[in-house]
Amino acid sequence: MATATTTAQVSEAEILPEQQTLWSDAWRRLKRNRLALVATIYLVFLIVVALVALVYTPYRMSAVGIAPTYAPPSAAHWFGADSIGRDVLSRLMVGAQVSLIVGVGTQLLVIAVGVPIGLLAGYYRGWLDSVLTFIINVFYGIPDLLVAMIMVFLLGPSLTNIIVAIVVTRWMDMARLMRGQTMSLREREFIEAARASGAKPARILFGHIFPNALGPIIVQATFGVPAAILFEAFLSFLGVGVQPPTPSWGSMASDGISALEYAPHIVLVPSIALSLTLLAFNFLGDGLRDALDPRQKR
Amino acid sequence: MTPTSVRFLKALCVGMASFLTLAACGTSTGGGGGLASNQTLKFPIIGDFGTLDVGMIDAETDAEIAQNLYDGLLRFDNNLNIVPDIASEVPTPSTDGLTYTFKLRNDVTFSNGDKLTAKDVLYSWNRGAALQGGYAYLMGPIVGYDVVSKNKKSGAALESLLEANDPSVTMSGLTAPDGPGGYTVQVKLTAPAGYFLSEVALGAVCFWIVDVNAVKQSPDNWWSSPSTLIGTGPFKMTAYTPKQSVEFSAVPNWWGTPKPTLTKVHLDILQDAHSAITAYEQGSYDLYGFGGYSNAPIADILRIQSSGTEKSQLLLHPKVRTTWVSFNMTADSSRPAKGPFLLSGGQSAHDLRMAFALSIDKTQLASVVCHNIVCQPATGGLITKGLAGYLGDDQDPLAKFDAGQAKTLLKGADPDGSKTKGLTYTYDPNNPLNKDVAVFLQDQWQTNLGVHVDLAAVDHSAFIKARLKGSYVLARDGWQADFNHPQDWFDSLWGTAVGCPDANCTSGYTTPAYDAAVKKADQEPIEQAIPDYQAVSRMLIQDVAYIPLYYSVGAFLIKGYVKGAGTNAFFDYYWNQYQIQNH
Repeated sequence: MATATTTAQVSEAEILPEQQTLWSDAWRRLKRNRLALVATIYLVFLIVVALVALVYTPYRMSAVGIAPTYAPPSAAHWFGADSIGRDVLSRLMVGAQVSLIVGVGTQLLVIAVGVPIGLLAGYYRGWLDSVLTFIINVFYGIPDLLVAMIMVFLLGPSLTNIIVAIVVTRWMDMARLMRGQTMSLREREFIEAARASGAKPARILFGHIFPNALGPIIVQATFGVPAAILFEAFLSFLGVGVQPPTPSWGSMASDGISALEYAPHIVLVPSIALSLTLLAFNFLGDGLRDALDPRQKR
Repeated sequence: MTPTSVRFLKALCVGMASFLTLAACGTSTGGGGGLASNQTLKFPIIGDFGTLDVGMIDAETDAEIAQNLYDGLLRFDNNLNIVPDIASEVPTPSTDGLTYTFKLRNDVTFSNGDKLTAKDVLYSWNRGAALQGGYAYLMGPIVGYDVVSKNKKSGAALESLLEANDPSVTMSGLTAPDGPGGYTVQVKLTAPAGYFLSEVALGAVCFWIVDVNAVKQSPDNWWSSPSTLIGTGPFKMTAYTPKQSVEFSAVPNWWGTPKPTLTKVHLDILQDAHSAITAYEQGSYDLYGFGGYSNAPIADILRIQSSGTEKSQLLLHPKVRTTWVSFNMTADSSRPAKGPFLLSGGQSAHDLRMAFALSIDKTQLASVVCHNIVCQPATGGLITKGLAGYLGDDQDPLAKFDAGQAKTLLKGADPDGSKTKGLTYTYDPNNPLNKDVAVFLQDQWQTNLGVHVDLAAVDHSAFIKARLKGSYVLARDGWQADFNHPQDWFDSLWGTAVGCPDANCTSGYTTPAYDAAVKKADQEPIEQAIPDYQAVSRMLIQDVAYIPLYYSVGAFLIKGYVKGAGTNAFFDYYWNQYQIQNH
């Protein structure tokens, strides 16, 4: 009897596929995407560099005159020195912190603002949806760079204010995505079941709809990170970004632009770092989209 | 291939080689001897004019252009001697030092053909005093200036008053003894002023002569139109597209000497020094750095210095500009900035100012920021090296670097760090050097004092306006001498004479002792006044009224075929001395 049961269990295990959660399935598929995997490794490396820069940089990032001005890359200064003799590598490491804080911080705030608005608009529909959609469209009509620059001028050029300025100009995509997801999910059977069992709207929104829309939200946020990093770099390039002595990749490139012919490394180093980071986030975003969307199985 | 073809190919190769050799010779920038048939000079300026109205000019960049369009009674020559211009000779003051009589040349004409007489001088000077432009205060010594300086009218209303010789716009000390149509102008001063002739010779300000017939056609904007910009200079405006370009041509049969060789001067109005230099290198321009824009990016200078072909075209020349850091030293209702550096703060604030001064390594600043090329450490006081009133190398204790003493002073004056918390240094980033200096200062104060100072960049014109209203606790400051006399520094920057503490005064610094010492020195002949002015300079040092940073060096690029172009410490040589040779 005991033997028969064991045989039956083994046979069942052999016949049924391994039970996997959405996340483990997504991870399995992400691992198969080589570009996404390389991008992930690069981003992990970047995070490690940014964390290390909290406690160690080869030289103090704001120390002027520690190398000959415009010095090219050398053993002592791997990425050379800038126009006032600061070590480019040290500043690049600290600049990675700025980029990651802006990129991730912005998307967390975008989620905090856009998701509730999208949930409310998609779930309640009617006049509330009309009003919120109108507001979203109004924000789409405002030139984002101009608004961000005005906000930074008014609030002052600090890292926090730059993040706020980017959020103000970039929350609409997330809200619109969430609205669409909510509209689709609210008609599904499990939501009707929750409603029938007496669940309150807040529980339905945040306990049932939100978790089921998490995949698209993550993908959207992942694509939003490089956009925010680029936006910050652009503001810093224009001189209204992060203020000295804190380096940003955008301001580092801006500082070197007048010496492009004489000392190209000052522009090239932060520009390459910026490009690789943007590329990595975009590859990761692509990979996550493929991994989290079952309809796009290869 | 047939032998004929081979011969043909050989001939072709030789021909091409010869052509390339000739072409290479043709691109040489050296002068080939003899005048070029095209005498058009081209160079860029960085940014448009503020104004070319001599009554309102207050920027070096405008003055450098205007000096070729207008004349004064006197002028400085290339060696900075005062020489006659419209006047037939340099006048000698009366024995009491109060009266100057100018004899005018009788052959001077405006570019529209109008003849210049004494009435034009009276009109131009009264107009300059009444307009109250940036340099009107230079007329302060003339009797009646105090009345005219109260004028609030401008444009057509002012022209009407001037035409009617209204007492409110007529300096009583300015007369034409031979009548308005004559050639004599007499000036009476309220007190002897040893610097008065230097002021009269100063380029492109209210002492220069304009044509009433041209001004009254468009009293507010006459200077921006070729038809009404009328002066007595060797060049006249022929085209002007704001923010794009401006063109001048030589005045035919000009009355002065030397007669201009250039027939045309074309200026492109660019926004960026680096692009301007690149365009110069590509052959679009004959000069760079002229027109008051000699602040070339250091990377470009280094690149050019390392270039075999262009190195000889680079001219580095000390300019009479000192740059320093200003403190806000007065707090009252009209000055928004407060801060810990006030004169009223007594010894504690004095020590704090001293700590901030001693914590900056000025030698390293000149080395790191300027590569010891575009500036040198300001160690000899406020007045730039080479000018009357310079204290001598290493004579300014504020220029010393002593991080240890700085820290001790800071500890005594601000033991808990509360006074130096939240300080901001404000600068104008339009000159790229200013940003690098700001970052350098921030690092020095952080490293040597442990004080974090925020940086704020404000666009140049807004920065200057706000600074002169006393809006900044710590700010970039500087002065470019107008003429070689200490009065130009001490009367223009501090003390009640310039408006301190509440107007035209960055720091708000003024003391009765300073006012009295400057007033005494101003009335003395230059030889006697120098020690007194140096005492005034030491007074500023004693009170730590500034942190000296550097003396500027201008960078110019001149193609080898442009002869006669150059600069002295104050201004570019006049265009009528330039020639373009074959090239």
